[in-house]
Amino acid sequence: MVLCPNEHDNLAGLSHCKVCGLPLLDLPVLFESLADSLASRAGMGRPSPRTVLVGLGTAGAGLIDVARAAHVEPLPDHTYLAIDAKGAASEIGSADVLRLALGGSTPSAGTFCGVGQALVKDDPCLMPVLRKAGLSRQDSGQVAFLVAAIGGGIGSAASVIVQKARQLNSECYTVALVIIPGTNESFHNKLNSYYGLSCLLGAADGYAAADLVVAVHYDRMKKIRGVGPSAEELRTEGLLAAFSDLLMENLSQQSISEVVRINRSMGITLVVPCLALGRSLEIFGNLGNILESAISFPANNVAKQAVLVCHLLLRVPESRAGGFSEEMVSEQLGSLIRRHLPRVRGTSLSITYSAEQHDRVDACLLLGGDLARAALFANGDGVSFEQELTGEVSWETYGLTEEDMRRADSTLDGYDRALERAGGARRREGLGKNGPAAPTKDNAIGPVESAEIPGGGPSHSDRPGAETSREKESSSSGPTESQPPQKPRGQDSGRSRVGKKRK
Amino acid sequence: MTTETIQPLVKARIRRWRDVRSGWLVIGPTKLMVYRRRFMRRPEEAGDFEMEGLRTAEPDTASNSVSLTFDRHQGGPANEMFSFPDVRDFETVVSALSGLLQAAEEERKRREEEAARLEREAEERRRQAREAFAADLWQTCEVVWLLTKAGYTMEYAVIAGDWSDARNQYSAVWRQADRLKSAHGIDLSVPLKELDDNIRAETGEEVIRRTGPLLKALSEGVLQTGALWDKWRKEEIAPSAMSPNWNHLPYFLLFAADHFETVLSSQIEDWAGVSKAVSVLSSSSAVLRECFKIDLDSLLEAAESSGGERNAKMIAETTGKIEDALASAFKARPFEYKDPEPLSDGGHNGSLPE
Repeated sequence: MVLCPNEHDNLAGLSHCKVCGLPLLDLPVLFESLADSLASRAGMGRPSPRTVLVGLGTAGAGLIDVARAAHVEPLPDHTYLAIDAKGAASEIGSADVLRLALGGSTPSAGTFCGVGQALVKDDPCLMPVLRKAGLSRQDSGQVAFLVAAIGGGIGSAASVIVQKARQLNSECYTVALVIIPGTNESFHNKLNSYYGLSCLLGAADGYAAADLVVAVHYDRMKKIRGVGPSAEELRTEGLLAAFSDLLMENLSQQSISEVVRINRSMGITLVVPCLALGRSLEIFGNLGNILESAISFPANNVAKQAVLVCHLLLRVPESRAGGFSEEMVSEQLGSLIRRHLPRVRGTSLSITYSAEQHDRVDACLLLGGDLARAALFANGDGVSFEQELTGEVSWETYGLTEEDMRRADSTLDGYDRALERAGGARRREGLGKNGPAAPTKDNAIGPVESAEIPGGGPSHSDRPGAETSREKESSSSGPTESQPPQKPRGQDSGRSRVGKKRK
Repeated sequence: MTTETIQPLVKARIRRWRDVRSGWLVIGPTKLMVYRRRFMRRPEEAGDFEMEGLRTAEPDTASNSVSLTFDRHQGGPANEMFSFPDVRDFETVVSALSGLLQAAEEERKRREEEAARLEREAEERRRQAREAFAADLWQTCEVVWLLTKAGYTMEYAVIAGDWSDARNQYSAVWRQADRLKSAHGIDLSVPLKELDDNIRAETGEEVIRRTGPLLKALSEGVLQTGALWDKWRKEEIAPSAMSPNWNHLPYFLLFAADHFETVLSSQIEDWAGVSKAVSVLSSSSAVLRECFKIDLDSLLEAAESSGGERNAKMIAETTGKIEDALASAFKARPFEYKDPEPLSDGGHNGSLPE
């Protein structure tokens, strides 16, 4: 029997009292549920972590798990959050990773950008889980670090996470590591990344764009190799995880603010990384060679003449710290810039030290100033994309409207034009509305499609000889040949050494 | 027949009463007695009547007789006719009876007035008891409301990192918990002491984790309605007669907790939480309408619709109006009393709970 509020006896199973009509409520159960709800927000009461690492979409969420698994204990002052569509979301993995399975029932939710964006935006649990991840109060020392493959429907909604992070903590820095789909991927993947990148670069709904977008191209990432802390070979996903780890560690609040300050002064948001991860000092000999290795392996399409800013992120074993003084690193960076990047006006430097016992150094050059469309269409596939785009496209299928696409076009155009005005971005022959034609050896940094890295992998990249030859090749065809090495204009004023810390 | 001696007010000769042809009528302060005259012997008692039962005396001067009406314990009124031999006896008796009847009437009126006065005083006592009951209940509701509000506001302050406000809200929780303990013995000191160190150390995660047990302890306290009724047992206020009553208090707490859960969920944009809380709010609002006489239906509809639209501003506005309505109710303390119904199928017998 169940008692109503007026203590009338009722048979179990009734919803309302048969005598007075009042609802029959199971008070202990309801109070228990309310008490659980109160206590379940405990995560929101944690001190604000310095870095909130968010993985969006299947690839992004997977990378979060890899990044977490790279350390025995969660990094102090870091929280991990993996967001993916229900069904696609992994439910296994470290308990330290918060997980949100987006509750959409639309089968195409994980496929198309507009639908994916709406799914992420409308999820009723998104804000609570972001708060639980530590984005709950104003804190200028916080960095929200987002990883997403923007060719996917969910990943293309990265800008939604940027907006929400800003809404929760308007003072935090937002950094997005985005993976551009490969040349052979479908039209809808390219459309997703086109739309997704435009949203990251443009302000929307009263919230500013991401502070920094680090764009890597999947095809390029497949070809780059690195070496991990346990001397294991790093390929695509492992390399991405190691790269995101380097970014997180080196882009502390202090260094990100410097990077953003320098970038903003030239209208730059998007940067392309050049990677040399796990380069052995025994093999490479010195930092100069490691930096040459890095610039030989850009993770996306970037033209030397277009680069206006160059930020070096360097992680050195603590035991080798003595050989990496700021002055020395700065000198080596300057030398590299003189050789390869004639138009660089601003640089910054961030060195961290790892407790590892090996002699391997991680280096990453973040180059900014080239077109957003160049990053989207690294291998000259922009023309074919443009042709498909101007054909019969049913925007509704992608969850978009013509107005959305016009806005995306306008944002990318606006970003690229501003860079052209700033004097960095290239104008190439055959550069259509949607990006450059295939890069040539004459102006592109690192390997191009026609000149794949022979052999690939660490066996190749760890050979200093190979890097030397590449350096020669690059030097002979690059602007350094036509212009004698000179101090880049404005380099001194823009140079900054930041974020030096000990781990 | 009684043989007690009564002090006569009046003694008069009678010519006839029933079968008594000659005798005496003696009117005493409490009794009216009839004596039959007997030749050469003492008069014999022929009947008596309680003066208390005398209702009317109708004299007939033409026949020197008087007709008396007495109330009997069983059956209807009884008429007794007395006739007198001369006018002097007749007038003496009529005069005495008239005086007695008047005195009796005055006494009856006095007694009725006294009974009415006592009834009025008893009713006033009952009314005051009901008002005091309602006042106590509403005051407890207000304490429960303020305590719940402070608890939820404290949680939000911790989430927002505003430790100054969190400490203020924690003090408010303590104050209301003290009032609850002194008024009803509901003791929340154990969960509160667990909060103490964490508030001092500003360990937000632990503070929030321990607000759950605090609400649970509070709900367990108000669910013990027998203990709440104890204070009012001597007043014999039937649960079914008073609305609201202590049996309704847990529903009030449920409403309060759900209301502030809605507020907090909307503040942190937990729309799944808002939707869940608003649905329970609608159920418990029926109890507030029927038992607490607070009609929030239109406001709750607005809250539900704002929750559906994820309009945090509108939810804040609507929940603010709900809080205003509650604040008015805490001042007005409305209640309804109806005489307890007899035991019926499905009902209760109106006795105080054990």
